[in-house]
Amino acid sequence: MMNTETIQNKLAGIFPELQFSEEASQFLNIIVSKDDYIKLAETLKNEGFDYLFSMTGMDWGKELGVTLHLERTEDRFMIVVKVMLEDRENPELPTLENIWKTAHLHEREIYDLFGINFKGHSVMKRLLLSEDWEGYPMRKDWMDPSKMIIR
Amino acid sequence: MEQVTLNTADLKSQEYFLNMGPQHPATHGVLRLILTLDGEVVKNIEPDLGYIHRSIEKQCEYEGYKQIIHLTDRMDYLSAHINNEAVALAIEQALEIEVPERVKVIRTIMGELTRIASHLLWWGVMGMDVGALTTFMYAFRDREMINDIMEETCGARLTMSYSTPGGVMFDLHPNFQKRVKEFIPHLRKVIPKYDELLTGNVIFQKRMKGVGYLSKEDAISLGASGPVARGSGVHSDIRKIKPYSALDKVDFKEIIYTEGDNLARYKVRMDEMLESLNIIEQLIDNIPDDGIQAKTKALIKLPKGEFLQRVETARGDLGVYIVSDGKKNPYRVKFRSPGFSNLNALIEMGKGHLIADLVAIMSTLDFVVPDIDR
Amino acid sequence: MILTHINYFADLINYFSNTLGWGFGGKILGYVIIALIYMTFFSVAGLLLVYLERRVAAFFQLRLGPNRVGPWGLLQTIADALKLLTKELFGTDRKDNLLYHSAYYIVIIASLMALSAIPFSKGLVAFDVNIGVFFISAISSVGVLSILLGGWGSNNKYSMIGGMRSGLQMISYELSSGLAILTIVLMAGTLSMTGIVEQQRDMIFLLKGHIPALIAFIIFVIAGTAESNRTPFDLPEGEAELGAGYHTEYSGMGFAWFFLAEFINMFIISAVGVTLFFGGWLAPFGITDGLGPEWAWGLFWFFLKVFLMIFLLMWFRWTFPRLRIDQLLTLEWKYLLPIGLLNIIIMAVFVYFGLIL
Repeated sequence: MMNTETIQNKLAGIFPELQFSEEASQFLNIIVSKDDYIKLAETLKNEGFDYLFSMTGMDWGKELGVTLHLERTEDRFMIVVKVMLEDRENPELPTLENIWKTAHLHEREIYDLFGINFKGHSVMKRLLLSEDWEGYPMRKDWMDPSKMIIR
Repeated sequence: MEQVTLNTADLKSQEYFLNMGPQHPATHGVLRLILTLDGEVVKNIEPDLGYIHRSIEKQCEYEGYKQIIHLTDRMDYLSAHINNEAVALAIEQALEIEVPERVKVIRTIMGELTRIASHLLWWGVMGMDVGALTTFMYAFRDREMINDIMEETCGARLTMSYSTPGGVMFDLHPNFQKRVKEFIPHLRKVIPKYDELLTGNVIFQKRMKGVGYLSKEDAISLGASGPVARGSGVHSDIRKIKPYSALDKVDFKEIIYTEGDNLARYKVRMDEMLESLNIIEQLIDNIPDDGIQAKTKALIKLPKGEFLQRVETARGDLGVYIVSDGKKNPYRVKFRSPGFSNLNALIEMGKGHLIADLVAIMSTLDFVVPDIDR
Repeated sequence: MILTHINYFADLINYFSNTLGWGFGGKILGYVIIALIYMTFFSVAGLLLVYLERRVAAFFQLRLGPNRVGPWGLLQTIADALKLLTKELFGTDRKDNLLYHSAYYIVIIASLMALSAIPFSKGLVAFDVNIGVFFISAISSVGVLSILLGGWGSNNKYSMIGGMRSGLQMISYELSSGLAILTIVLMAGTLSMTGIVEQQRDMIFLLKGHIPALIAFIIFVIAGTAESNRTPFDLPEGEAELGAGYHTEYSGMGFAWFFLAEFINMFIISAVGVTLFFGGWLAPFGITDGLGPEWAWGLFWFFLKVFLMIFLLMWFRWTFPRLRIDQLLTLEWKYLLPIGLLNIIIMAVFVYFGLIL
């Protein structure tokens, strides 16, 4: 059985710069920098976190980012990984497609709605919106010219 | 004269693109797949979504928490009640509200009825997709009975918006228990007949067995959930893993088949209908009587924090992820819809099959396109 | 064996050309009248069969079916036909006009020509040729041409896949149905449709040829269903996979001709089956012999038998799922064809040693 402490200790040993928090959340939150992102993902996959429950694009106002909900199918233990990107103009992250196949579509959706470019993704194209759409509508600073959603 | 030598490696048939959808009978809505075909063999699948994208997640950021529930009906409209329940549960979890027992039981019964209705529709359409047209009518006839039950209590047949934060909208209709009790033996009687009509058919078996294989590892890695994952032997029923509402009080089996092919996914859903009947049967006779609404404020404000609620819809693992900054609307809402992740499985499974098989596989994945697009 | 040929259609032509003394003009008039009769029959039978299909489908699906227009909804399909007649004909922009438009003419011509060689009753056959069975098989394989042309000429990939599937399917199953027909021809010793019917006066061929005839009948029904493109062999249409297959791009009457021809083809398959295996227009065990004009009773028995056969085909359609293209070909080339070939040898041996009843 895995629990919050074992995984926290294990990860802190490998990645000294990780930040952990359990504040205002049901799960252990791991805040990772862009550089450690792919390595952390690989480590977690090896720790048995084989089920990428969801990949959520986030706009925290100043930073853009991605929240991963990872679960071990073995004992259904879930953790949250957050990565933040300071660069709003040209945000980039490595792809997780090769680690969890489900990231394929999730990353395309995030690219479409938040404009985060996933390096190494096989089909980095818009998914939901049309090819000629301008802007990334799920960002907080996006203006809605039609006034349909933001009144 | 020059000798012409034929190198068989150069003999390559030409690949071509085929647009499947957005208007296509097999995609059950407006899903568009861009297929690369070699003859009739599918070489690559690229989904193009968004034909029914209504940016529900963005809309949620500008609505109050009570309004959000009404948007979720329109996602997976076939398990509308379970979607409502998911948001209601997420809000209750955040506010730490203890809902009355009656509400829990009602929600569970309604949820299972919705699941049966959804699976019945799936069964009808499944038959249509492999060419047996009669199943559709049979399934709709039975589904109509559930819709009638829903209509009496919720006032709506499909998008009922029945759950509210802290309770349910209306009390049960006096006829409810009687109607449900009539329905249970009826469905128990007809499902074996349906098995005779479709499941046992030689052609159907040949079409389903061994087609669209999804291994357990792939199912997990592709993020498959619900009957798709359970057809591949993954224990993925959220009702068992993290029981919500009254599901911890009932005794039921998690249906798992390990074959991982179309037939396994088919059987999972067929058995799940009977299992759902079991759940309803255990609850229907003793619905507690302690009110249908917990006390909530008129204007709901969630505390600062992140809240995740998972429920098992008819299609799989639905996650409602709310990030709140303490205001009256959420900062960010994410619906992790089961269909979206299951679509990954289609891309993986469909390659190398014929078009006809692709249609059958798509059918066993049971897509509801508004659920994928949101 | 010398058969006394009574042919009312030949009499009609004879009447105009010789009795009235109109010569060649009379002959032409006679042909035109016969053609009109057949065309009327084509459309009326087509519409009735569509109606019947919808009622039978409703019966299997616990519904009512069309029941509002006219008595028992009988006029529903006529209303549908009128609607289709008044609809605009439009197709794709880059279709091959010649192929696209010739497709539905060929399909009607092929069905009408096949229809002409079927004996509806004593003396009621327009084209009483001594190679009738062969003629019908040959003409019905022309029908596949129209589907191929329609599929190719539409310049639509779905249509093309549908057309190609249909080519594969119909050419394959033509073999099996041909072999099944040959089995009966071996027994009858004639290729004439009228001759085959006349030979069944004492006993229908299905009973007379017992085991090989029964096998031939089963093969014929399977191959016939496949040839008329009906479920479980409706791959050229395959509406869940291909939209509408080869006739995706047709509208209005263009579509209606394909639709009607499909039903007429079903009628032809059933009529040939009835003629070969169930004694055509002959009354079972001669129960109505001498009770009135033989041609009238003949019509009654013929249509009753054909109706039962069509009902069987409709029953298939509304209960079975569809096969996949490779399974379809496996069924034909690995099972039906070898069995058919073996069966024809068995039949030859039986006929040679006089083992048939």
